[in-house]
Amino acid sequence: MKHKNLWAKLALFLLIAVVVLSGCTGKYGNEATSGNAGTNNSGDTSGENTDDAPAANENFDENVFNFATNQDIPQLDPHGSAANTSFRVTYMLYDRLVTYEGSSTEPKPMLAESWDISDDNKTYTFHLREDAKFHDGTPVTAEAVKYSFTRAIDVNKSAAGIFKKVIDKDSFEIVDDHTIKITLKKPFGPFIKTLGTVFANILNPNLAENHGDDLGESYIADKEVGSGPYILESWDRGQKLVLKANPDYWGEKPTMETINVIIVPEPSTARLMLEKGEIDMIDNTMISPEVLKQMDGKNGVKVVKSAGYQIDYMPMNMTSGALADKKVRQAIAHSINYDALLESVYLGEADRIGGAVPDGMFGFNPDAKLYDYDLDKAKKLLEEAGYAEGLKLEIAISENNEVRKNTALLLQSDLAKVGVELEIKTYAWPTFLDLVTTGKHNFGLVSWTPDYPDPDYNLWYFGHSSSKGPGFNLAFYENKKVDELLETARASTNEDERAAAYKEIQDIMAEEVPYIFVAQPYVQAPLRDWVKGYEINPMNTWYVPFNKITKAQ
Amino acid sequence: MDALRYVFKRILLMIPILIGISILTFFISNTIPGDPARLILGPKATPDGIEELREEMGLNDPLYVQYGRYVNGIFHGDLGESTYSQQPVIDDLERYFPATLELTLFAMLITVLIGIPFGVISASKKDKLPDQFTRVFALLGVAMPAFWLGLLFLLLFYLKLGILPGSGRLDNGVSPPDMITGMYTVDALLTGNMVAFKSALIHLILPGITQAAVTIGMITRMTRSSMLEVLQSDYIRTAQAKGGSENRVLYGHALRNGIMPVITLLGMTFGHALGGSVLVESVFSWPGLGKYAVNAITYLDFPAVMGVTLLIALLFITVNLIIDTMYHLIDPRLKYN
Repeated sequence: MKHKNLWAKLALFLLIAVVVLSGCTGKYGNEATSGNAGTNNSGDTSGENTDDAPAANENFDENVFNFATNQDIPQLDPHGSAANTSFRVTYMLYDRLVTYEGSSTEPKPMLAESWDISDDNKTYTFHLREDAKFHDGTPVTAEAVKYSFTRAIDVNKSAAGIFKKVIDKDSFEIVDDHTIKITLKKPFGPFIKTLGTVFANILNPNLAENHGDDLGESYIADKEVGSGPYILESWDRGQKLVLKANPDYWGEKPTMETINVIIVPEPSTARLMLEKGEIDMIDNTMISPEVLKQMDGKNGVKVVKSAGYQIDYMPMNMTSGALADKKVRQAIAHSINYDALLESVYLGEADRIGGAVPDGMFGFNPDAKLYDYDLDKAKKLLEEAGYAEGLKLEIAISENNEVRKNTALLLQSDLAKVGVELEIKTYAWPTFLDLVTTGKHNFGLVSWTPDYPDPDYNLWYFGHSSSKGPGFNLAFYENKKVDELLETARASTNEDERAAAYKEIQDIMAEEVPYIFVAQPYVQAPLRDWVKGYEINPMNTWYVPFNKITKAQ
Repeated sequence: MDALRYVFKRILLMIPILIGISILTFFISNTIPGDPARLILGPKATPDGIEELREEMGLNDPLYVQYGRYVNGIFHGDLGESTYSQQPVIDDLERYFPATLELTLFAMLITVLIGIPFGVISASKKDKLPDQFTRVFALLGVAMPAFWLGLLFLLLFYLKLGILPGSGRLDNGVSPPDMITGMYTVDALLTGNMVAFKSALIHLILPGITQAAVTIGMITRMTRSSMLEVLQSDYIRTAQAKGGSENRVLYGHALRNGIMPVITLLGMTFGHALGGSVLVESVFSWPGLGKYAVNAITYLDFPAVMGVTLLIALLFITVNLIIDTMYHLIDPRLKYN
């Protein structure tokens, strides 16, 4: 007879169990969030539930930094990865010959104490510091430098993109353990700048023992062989990656003991965790401008903003019908209400620019022609081009991006006023990428951040005829003069000469309008107000200086 | 003997089904426009780099050759390497699948423990207060989107009350139990690691309830209507006439017949929950298969897409087989054929 209402009893039991268990732990999120059980000191978490008093948030731990991102970390091979979410980690695990710090885009000495450049601008001699050691204790030598760049080229993935053009396996000459000569195939002005990027991380040559048949790509995908301020402690894929400060670091002692990079796929959840104090900072690409506005200054959260080198732009495919005509492209440029766009889509958190070189970077041309919002001029230009009775065009965008979607909608209504019917086509990212690089689009909307802070980067991709299509010259733009100027500027190390060439290129491109540069948005990072010393790097917007940041309530 | 032969036959039948699914998935996913090599290398890749990688990955071979290579790999226990994570797909599945399975099983447990009794009560007290109550409860569960419900739970239990954790599978500072099944609660129990068990169970509550909300509603309603039908039948009247207590009649006599369609529905929802938990996983940062599968498709990671599809298909078929076998256990009159 006893088991008659077994079901009901079981259900009741489960409910009770749930209530009791949750009661047991209680005060969730008031426990100190720390990297491991050992440091979970019950002494600091005594007392009653006080979660409404931000001044004494008990999630606070000055030695642990919790960073949330929704971008899963695919892998950690510095030469194979093309994902910002990996860069953020590898930049801390590895050192480079030179590096970028804080908000500066000037390369600073790191593993290389100094360097000399030969008169023909081809040979660079680097003097390495002698006290730097890899995490396994072996010293960082000239051999490691040679090994790292050779492997970058051989792996032939993201890192090879920059270096393959300028160096090969014969470019290196080891003078002694701490001196190396690198001879370029041809002069390359921005060379030193490229050495501070994630792709120029220096790897321990011991990796060669684990090369297998893929140069160690699968071996190193979840390990590190660096000499940087942090050591990879653990990594539960899809959940959490933990970095520990390197106790034997040759340089300045890293401030944060433990870094937890936590994967939080849902922005709303991340926001709650930040407001609760369980995380210190959210990936700046995760939260839309509207939500950032709501978050700023409330619940212990502040939003730090600063100009970045990202540019949002619209390529006009010059091989697709009407857009081949310069007058049509100029007409389009005149029919966009730029002020309204910056105000309504970016909520004012962006600037307008005239060219492919972002404001703040060397070579920026402040005088590049800006097209004003002038519908009469636009109509007249269209008429001259023979499209008086209107025109039908398509704009391709990739899905899941609020800003691009809203920009496209605004463009649609703007262009309608001059008789251009714009159809918005939304594609999944792989499809979008395929479409625009094979030239099947009229317009597209793309965001772009350079990998090294030099106009050579953006302008070569956008303007050089060899970059058409897959090289990301999505306008399929070709101009002999521009090609020539790009090549001269690249080969020179004379900054004045280079700046002049880049200005001229920007003027030519402003006149011919292969692209419309929609905006240069600010980087906006939501973080706890107890985080001190965080500076946004305009180029490496993913960069969080975990080794310099401090926390103070 | 009949039972064994039946099960064996059904297992043999799985092979053509899986082959069919693998062919469909392989060819359909390859029709998605886009270039996996380009996606690996990122937008800033060089054209010749892309071409070399395509060659290396064998993407330039005809599709049937690529498919043949894939099937050949399977026979050697090799599901290929994920182009996104650079890890063997089999390792990735081992890593992410137990989390999804654990969450799904927990949600199904809640569903059964709440949904079936509610359905029975609802049927026995037709149109009375308990019936109205469970009706509203069930409708709410079905009508509220899991995503939204999850966020509400987070706001209430995590942010405001602070009694339940909001994300992940374990507390910060608790290390996972030794891997046996990959389901933390099970592993922790098996290894006697009570700290991890408690932490893992607490983390299951919110996502589990969120995931179960929809299925509880469906199961309650299904149990109710099925029970109502059974309660009209002659043998129930006989049982009542013989003076059996209400509970004995309901749970002893009626439920046994009334539960058949519910079991079918349970099987279907289980399969559905396995493949469709991506939203719940996302809200609660649950590192399961859902997010992995979405990533795989976004990055045209064909080996991963294939691996996930085949695994889910295999589970779906297996669950169906178990359900079919259960029919026979519950109703011995059914013949194996």
